[in-house]
Amino acid sequence: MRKRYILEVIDGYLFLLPFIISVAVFLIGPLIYAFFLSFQNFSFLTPQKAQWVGLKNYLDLLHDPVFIKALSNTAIYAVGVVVIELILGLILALIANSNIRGKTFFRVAYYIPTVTSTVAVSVIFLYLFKADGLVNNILSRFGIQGPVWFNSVRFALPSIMMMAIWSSVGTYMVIYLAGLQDIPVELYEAAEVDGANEYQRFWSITLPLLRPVIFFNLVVSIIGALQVFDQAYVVSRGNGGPLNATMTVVLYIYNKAFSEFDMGYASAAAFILFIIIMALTIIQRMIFKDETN
Amino acid sequence: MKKNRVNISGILFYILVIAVMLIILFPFIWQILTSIKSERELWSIPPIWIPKKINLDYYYSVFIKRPFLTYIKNSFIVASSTTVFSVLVASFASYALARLHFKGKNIILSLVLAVSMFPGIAIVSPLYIFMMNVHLLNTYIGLIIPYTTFTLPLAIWNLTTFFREIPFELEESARVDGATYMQTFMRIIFPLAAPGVFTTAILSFISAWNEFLFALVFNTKDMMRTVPVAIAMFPGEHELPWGDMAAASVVVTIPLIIIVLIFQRRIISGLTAGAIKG
Repeated sequence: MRKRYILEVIDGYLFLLPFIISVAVFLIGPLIYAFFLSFQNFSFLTPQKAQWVGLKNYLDLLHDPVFIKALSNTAIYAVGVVVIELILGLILALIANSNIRGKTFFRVAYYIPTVTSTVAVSVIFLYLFKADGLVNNILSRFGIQGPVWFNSVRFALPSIMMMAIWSSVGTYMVIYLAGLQDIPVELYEAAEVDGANEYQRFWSITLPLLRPVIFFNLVVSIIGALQVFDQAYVVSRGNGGPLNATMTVVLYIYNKAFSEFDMGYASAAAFILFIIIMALTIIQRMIFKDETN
Repeated sequence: MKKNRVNISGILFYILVIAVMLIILFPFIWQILTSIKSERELWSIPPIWIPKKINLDYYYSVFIKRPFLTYIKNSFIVASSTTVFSVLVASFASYALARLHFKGKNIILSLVLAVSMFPGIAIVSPLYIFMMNVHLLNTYIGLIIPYTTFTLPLAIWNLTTFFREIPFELEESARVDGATYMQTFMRIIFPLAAPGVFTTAILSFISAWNEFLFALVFNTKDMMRTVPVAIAMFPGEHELPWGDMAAASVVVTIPLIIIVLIFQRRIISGLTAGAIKG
């Protein structure tokens, strides 16, 4: 019996070995290297000139107005996108879960934008929202002078946010939908017998039972939103313009490392983002654990 | 009286459903219409909705004047290799996590979770240096490696869920007959979980097909670019080639839409596996 257990342990780890190796070599290894880079003045063009600079990169970042701007853009983006997309996703899921005809079609239609490449989506929206594009043309028929959307300091970030919500709300809808279908029908029937109306049923059955799913969506969407890059890159052609209005943290790190070849500085910025994401995830897990207990 | 009210709210509800649906689908329809317009129709102000006749110039331009087939080939090779490696590595790991009992399983599960939260940008620089030193920049393997690593968590979540659903009796009887864990995995678990494996494969393929950051950084030679990077590089110095961009984005999107239409049930069940049961 004991021998069999030992065999199971050995076999278990043998099966896990390819996964553990690939994570160790291609993720944890590079992460440790990035940590060392973040304390150096390093460019991959002249690696022999690398210098140890201590905390200089981190201290400089705290006084770097573009990095601060990138952080605040990313925070605005994340809060706006996550809140709207989680609420909208739930509403859409409730619609898709009700007894309407063509439910499958509805579900698939919402899901299509989520499998479309973010670059393709950005290109589609750039054309729709260009200064003399279709959206502004329709607005002008109602006497509204539309802004230059992606080229406007004020509207560029909200435009990217809108695009992100449009393209990912389907994912959250689908996950909510699965959660809704897991709620036992008997609960609703019992509530109906007790005379609870639709709103009461939603607030006292649907919402509480959906809590784990909401939490899951929250974690996934925040982590995704903090890493926004593709859309900002395509819309601003990589420079985060106009006037850094679409500069996100990841775009900033990319430019530092691969346009200005300042990899030490870029790695320090990446580490700050890494720590923010980890901290948020841990906080969310702690809150969630409290709730389930 | 009451029945009448229900009908009106029912109709309003449907109008809402259709309106939302239009918002979702319209950008695609508009993009398809744009891609078949003539040069004059494309630039006309106010915009023309329906082109007079189907014009395939932009498709011609994308495929003949630009090496778009090469980009598609690059994307396809990278995405399908990623899918194979990811499913292979993930199904070994998932078999252990779903079916075997041993200490440290929870640590591995948290490792999977940590990887799924991991921001790619944190390791782009060090991986770039690594790839440069081993001469893997501008190669397929250079992209397949990070893609496989990053698709593993989702693949493992999915497959673990699917493997758990297979009855234990089947495995037990094989074990009694003296089969090793490897044999039971290959002959019983893997074949029985085929639908789950297939779902996982589709999801891995889609995420590798659409990936942008690593492809942009690692494969900078034009002939090694993947489709998303190629489209992002279409804009020239002055004018944006809207027609080419429309045609190209239609070409990359249509295959995925077809996949979703055919396999929607599977994809959706795969996507929710991690969230609901995990």
